[in-house]
Amino acid sequence: MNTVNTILMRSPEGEAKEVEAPSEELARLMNAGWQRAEQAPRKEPEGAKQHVASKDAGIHQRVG
Amino acid sequence: MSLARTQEYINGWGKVKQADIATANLLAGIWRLSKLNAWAQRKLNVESDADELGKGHEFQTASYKTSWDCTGAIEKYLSSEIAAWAFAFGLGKVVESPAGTYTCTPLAPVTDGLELPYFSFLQAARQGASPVEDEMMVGCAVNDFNIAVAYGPGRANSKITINWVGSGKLVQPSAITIPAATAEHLLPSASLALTLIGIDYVTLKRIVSLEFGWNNNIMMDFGFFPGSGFQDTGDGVSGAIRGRLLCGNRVPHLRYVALVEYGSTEWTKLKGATTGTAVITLTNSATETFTATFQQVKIMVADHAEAEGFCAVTVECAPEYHSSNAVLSVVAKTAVTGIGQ
Repeated sequence: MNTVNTILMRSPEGEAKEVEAPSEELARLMNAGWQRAEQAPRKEPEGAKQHVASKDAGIHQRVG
Repeated sequence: MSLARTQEYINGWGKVKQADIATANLLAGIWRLSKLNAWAQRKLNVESDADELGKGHEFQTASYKTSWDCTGAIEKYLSSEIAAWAFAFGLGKVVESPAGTYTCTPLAPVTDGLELPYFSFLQAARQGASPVEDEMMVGCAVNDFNIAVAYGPGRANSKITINWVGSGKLVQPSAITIPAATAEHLLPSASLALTLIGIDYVTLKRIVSLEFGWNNNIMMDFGFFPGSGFQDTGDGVSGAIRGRLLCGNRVPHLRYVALVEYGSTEWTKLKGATTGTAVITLTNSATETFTATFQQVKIMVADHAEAEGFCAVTVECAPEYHSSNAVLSVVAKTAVTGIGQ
């Protein structure tokens, strides 16, 4: 089964676009200064942030 | 005595790019390929005070280690592995997707700058406890490459020559054990497909030889800038090394010899300033191949020539800048992953 391979490219202005690779369009975008977009950093779960915040608060409480 | 024959020469170089010009490749990023020529050169430039006045005579009384040069060539029978490497490091911009498939284009200065990816080059004879030679040149970049295919039997009808230059940084001993050789897949001349401004030279059985390539004209002396650094960090008398290798005016080239017959159009295309693409493919298998596309070429010279007694034409093309597709793009495929990454 053939699977289409696509990658995320980012323009010099920051626009993101999914592009088939290899393809003429990919080469054209690279020539125009587009870069391969890095994987977006994994979002930290909200719960984890809250946990750190509450821990800090606890320390302050103890010190105080 | 512990002399070494030249056959003991081994080499390796960065398959992946260095983090920056001063940071050497690690072992995991180095591969070893065979080649046809031996030693790259490292040169310490030393100046004499012989011409200075005030000594009372014309003889040298002191010398000064001023700078370092590292240069080398990689001459090889063409393989899919070295082709992918040359395009990735020689053109400068590479996207690997899917794994083992590399789309390579020249650097776009506005967004990519004009510094090519750097690699380390290692060479040795009898590595180990008593090496005859064992050194690593750090911060090297491809100055130019040329791929040449010709008629005739044998591997020599399809070759690549890559000339590289270095920052001057030298590590002796290299402290890296050069890995086992990577298996290569030859791209023989007999696999060529070539269509140039609408002419399918292989189907017409007219092509005699072809060469194409790219020259970055790296600005060597401009790499020594105030603060570029020394061979031994903090040692101002150890000789300066380069802190950057910038591309000069980049020059692609494409030329070939073809047989002429009734109806051949090279001369007509020259007179008409006709433009079109040049698409060059060399193939070992579906997964070991490359296709290079010059996006807009024009025949600049079409001189009479002779090939084995047949009427022929020597054609010099000018790869031009296409308004939307630029100059050159290459798709190279090999089983080796991570090239230029």
